[in-house]
Amino acid sequence: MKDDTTRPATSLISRRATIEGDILGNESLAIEGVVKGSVKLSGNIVVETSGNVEADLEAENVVIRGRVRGYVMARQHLVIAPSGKLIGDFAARSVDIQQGAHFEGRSQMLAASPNASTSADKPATA
Amino acid sequence: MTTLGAALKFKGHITGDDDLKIAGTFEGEVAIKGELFVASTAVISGDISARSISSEGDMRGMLTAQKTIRLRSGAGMKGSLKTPQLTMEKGALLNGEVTMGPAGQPKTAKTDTLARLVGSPDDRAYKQSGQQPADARSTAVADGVGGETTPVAQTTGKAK
Repeated sequence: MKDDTTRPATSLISRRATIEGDILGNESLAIEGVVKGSVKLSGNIVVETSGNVEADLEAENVVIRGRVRGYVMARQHLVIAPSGKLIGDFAARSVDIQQGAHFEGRSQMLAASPNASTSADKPATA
Repeated sequence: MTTLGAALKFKGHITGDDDLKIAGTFEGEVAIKGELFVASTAVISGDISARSISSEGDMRGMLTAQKTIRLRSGAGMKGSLKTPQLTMEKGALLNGEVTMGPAGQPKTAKTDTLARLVGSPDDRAYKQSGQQPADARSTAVADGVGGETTPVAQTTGKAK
């Protein structure tokens, strides 16, 4: 389970950084610091335990080990780890909310068609 | 160190006391206490403030460094720079305005000395009031006073 969601993140927002704004791109991102705004990637997003996100997230796979407040869209898989906290709605093709995790919001499962994920990829690629 | 990769586009602002590396497209404001590295793939526009800035990429806007700005070969910069120390390598392009002096503090002991060396209005004001600038006096004392070891600032002042 861990292997397919934790491809090496190429970008990092460290725990001593605060980022406010909109991030778009074709890679993966690890968040250890504070992020406000929106993040839309064709790769994966990992919110580490020190991460504090008040933003809408969209990525292929999303792993939440820290705190997230906002809308989360995982085109493939969403994991909320035991240390993770999600306040907000999410949409994902599959989801793993682990024991101890905190989730408040609405859940929406995406259709499992492979077309759905490729078409969702395009806006981030452009 | 925070890293924003080459395939990332970011619009907004970044703050923190960590180092930052930008390799992608960035538009907005950076205010960090650490060092900023701008990779050759980066395209940055906006106001940047950091302890030091080292660039190989394309930047436009206002850069303020507390320590040093280094424009490496391949770097392009359009706008204004404010830094106590500037290094430009061969192949770097700079179009704009450079202000050298401690960042964020327009007048400190260091700029004062510089101003006296070039005989600024401050210098004349000191002379008229018959006073010596405090640090020039202390240099004289440290040198053991005497006519022959006049502090530099004073000599230049007289020559003017």
